Amino acid sequence: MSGLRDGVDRGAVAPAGTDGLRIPRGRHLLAFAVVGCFLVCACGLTTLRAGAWIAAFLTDRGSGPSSGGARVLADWPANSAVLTAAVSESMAETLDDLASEFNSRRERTPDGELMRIELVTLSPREMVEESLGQPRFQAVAPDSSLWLVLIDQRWRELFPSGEGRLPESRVGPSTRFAVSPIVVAAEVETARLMGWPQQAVGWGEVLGRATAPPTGFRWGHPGPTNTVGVLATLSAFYAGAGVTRGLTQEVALQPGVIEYVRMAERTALEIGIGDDATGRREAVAEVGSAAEGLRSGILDVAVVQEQTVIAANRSWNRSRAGLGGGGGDGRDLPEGHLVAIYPREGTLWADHPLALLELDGRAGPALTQNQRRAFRSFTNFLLGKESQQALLEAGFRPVDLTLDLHTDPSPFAIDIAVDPLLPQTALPLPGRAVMEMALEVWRYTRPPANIVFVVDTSESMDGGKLAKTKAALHGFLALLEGDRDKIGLVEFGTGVAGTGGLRRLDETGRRQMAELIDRMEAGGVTDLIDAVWAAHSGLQDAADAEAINAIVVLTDGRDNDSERSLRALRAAMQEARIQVAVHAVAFGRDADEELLQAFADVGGGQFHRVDETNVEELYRLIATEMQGAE
Amino acid sequence: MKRTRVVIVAVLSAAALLVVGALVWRTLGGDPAGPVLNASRGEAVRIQVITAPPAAPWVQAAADAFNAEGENAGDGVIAVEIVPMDGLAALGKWERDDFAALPAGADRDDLSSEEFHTIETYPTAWIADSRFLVDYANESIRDRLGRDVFLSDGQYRVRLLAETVLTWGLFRDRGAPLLENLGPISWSTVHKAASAPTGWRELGGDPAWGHFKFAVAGPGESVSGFAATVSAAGAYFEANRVSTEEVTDQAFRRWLGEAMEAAANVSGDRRSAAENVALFGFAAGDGGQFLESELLRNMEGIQTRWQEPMIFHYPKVTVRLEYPFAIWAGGETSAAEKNAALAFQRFLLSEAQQRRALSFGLRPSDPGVSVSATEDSLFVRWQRLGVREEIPKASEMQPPERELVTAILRWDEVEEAP
Repeated sequence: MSGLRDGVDRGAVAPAGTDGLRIPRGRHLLAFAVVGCFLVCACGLTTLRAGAWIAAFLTDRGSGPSSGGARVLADWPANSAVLTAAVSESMAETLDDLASEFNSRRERTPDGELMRIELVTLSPREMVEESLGQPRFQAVAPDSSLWLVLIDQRWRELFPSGEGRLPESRVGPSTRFAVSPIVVAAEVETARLMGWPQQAVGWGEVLGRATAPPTGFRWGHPGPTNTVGVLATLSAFYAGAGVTRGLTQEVALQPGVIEYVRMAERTALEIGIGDDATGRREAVAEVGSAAEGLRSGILDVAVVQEQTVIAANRSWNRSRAGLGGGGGDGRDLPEGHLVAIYPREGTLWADHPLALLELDGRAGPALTQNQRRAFRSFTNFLLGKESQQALLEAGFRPVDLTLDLHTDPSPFAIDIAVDPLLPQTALPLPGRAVMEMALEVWRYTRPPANIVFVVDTSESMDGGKLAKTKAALHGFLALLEGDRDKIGLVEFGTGVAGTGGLRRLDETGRRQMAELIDRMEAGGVTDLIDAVWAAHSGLQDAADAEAINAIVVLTDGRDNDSERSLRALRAAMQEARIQVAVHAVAFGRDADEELLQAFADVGGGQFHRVDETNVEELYRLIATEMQGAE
Repeated sequence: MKRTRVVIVAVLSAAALLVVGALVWRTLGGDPAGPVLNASRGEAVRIQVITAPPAAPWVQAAADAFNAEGENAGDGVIAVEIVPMDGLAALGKWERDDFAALPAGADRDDLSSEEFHTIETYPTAWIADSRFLVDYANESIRDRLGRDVFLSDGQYRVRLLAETVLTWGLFRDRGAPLLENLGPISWSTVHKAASAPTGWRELGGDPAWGHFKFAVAGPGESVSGFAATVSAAGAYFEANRVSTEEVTDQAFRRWLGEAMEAAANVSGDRRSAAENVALFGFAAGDGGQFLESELLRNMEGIQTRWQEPMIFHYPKVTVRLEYPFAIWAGGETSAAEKNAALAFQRFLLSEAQQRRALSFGLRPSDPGVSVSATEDSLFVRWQRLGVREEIPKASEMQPPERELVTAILRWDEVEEAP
């Protein structure tokens, strides 16, 4: 029944006595239309706002800071009052609680926008890299201001200001909201064995024990992606150079210093990284956190923020109390407690800044005025009494100096494993050149690498694929700095052709390799397994167990002409004296991914799938993986 | 029919309920923001005042008091928003036109709504660290736009709000052996102490203190760091005015580099030496060169956290920062906004706020208000630790030339001078 018929009928059967209330049909429809439109608009608006509110509600309470892996498109409206901040892992949990508290206050900007803080957890190093492009965040909270300095230094290199002009900054206003010195953490008994607390213990003692072969003393620290990792590496440079200041690049590059750093880093277990193929990395993966590593006996000492010691001891006390064990009140140091050793030579501080990035719109949306307001408002909130008290309770030293660290209920007064009057000396941040060395320390400390490229030059690679592959190989060679590495090349197309074994990457070797790569031509069949066999045999013949031995194999097809079988290759690799990692690359959709995955599995390497557009990037990735591995 | 009508009525009622519910929700949910943030556009004359960080705590407190008074600028109640920004960063922004001023000849009234939006939040006033920064910004903008924007006379002229100076500070127990062995603290003393190979062992202190450490702001990181470099140059050349040639002189750079060996950088942030000493204690410095106001504000915190007081020592020649209030005279801001800025300027210069500055460690610009005028004056409170009431005007460094600013800001590696 249509609405019109309905209306006609309704008029026809209206009861007597209702005439005075009846609305003429035309007006009736008009009134319905007007009211209906209004209500539809109003309902739509309400629904939209409700949807947004529900989404905001779920985001606020349903999740913590999102992990760095999930990248989102960096975009926001011109009046956005949502401030996304990248936060380092050491502060993520505490800052997330504070951000939730701030968001629950529902402060608004003068134009009525709801101010909101969202967090994404990233390593400070990732923050630096992303800040130079169009990041998904507008503010950063790395664990130290040194990363802010790094952002500005790199920004000024990218966008130098003109002659006579003041240098431009990517980093805008910043405020520190908590600090924590970096210390060496050890279990009480281990610390006492090192002389603590009667005598001051320094980086020299820690690294001396670590590098003395018979003791089996193990120290751990994160990689140089955060401040703790950077300081641990710098401490090795300082100890190796025998100085406590004036660490210049010239000093740091002395062979004795580099050798000392190499030894120190080789004995260090890296805390907080994922699994890896080698036995050493598996042990590291078991560490998980510094406290776990120390308590499980994998580590003797670990470089951490002081806050980690306080949090670990508190957690230990709770778990012991739960078990009915002697948790203690912290006045003594029960078994299993960690102590903070403030190195005699000095240390650095994690000073936890929150900084706004001056996103000027050159690569994406610009920072909005409302985001600036949200930043100022959140900063004021973090500096407020309640937030500062929360940070103190979490084990950080608050920047509010009116909060007394020395009296109860300050954790510094309760936990005698930490001393709020220490450290009294400083191990200063060196100049930029040495800082860059510390950030790229793996370049100086990794063993040399023997790498054989196994390159498919069968007919199907003709044209763009081979050209891209050549470009990628040239890029790969450029990534391998120095002259300690050796490179080999095995082509397979018209049979398997080795090109004279491994070549040292000195000036001559680089030139010869470049010529060999340029001379590669496509044609023939795909005898893939034989080619990998040849590469593997070459590395076995070289018999260099001290080096990283790896094969990088790239193909777009399927094996159709090999004499040897995969089973035979697998057996040979498993029985080999020299361990060889195979990184296998499937180029295009026709590649035999199953076989390549099998290569990677048996060789403990990685399998990658690429097309013409990202093959160069892939080679960069593999080079980095291999150089980072030991 | 009847059923259809019932359905329609039910749908309309539900929709109406939703609307009413949403309105009630928004009303009851409330926006617990403070009174400043709650004011909607059109009800307030909102102005942004860029403010030098050392003066920001006082200015912010004053702005809160001013906003609470609800002064009307004709078009509405004035709402002052403080934007802390170091003077060197602000100078760079003015010179690069980061705030996006209108082109020469453009009129605010002729702008499209989109264009108008870009200047809506244009800064109405700037409280720089020092007058020379305002002058250099004005010169640069005058070159670009052909007109003065920060005026030296008339209603909107620049007025000085308060002052502070560079001063030395030494932790009591560490200062005693240092002064005994090397004499009064000066850049020369710092250079000698920094050059001592065994540190405190030969300086007469506890060897466990390590090397002599000295807190000073980074030369390119803040106006106080810039001022510290100028004062070092003044001490080296024994002059009240230094040139770009002198500051870039290799012998001076080497000498300052040696002294700066003692400038411990423990976190990467060297904008405020006083804040660093308060937060990091002896690791940041056994002493240092500070803005008097910042050290005064941190004195209690230093003593509480590190359980040792810092003693003031005044240099023979110092640098004075005077926090000028400069109102933007260009067409980017309305007459109402300019008048609002003027009202806030008057408020800051009122006797009550000048007296209030004393509790933030700032010296009032009003000669009628002495530093001991109030009970909560930090000058009174810390007098026993060496704070001076008067600083002789004659012993001051002269404002630097414009080229010197760029030279020092680009001198990134002063600590690693050859």
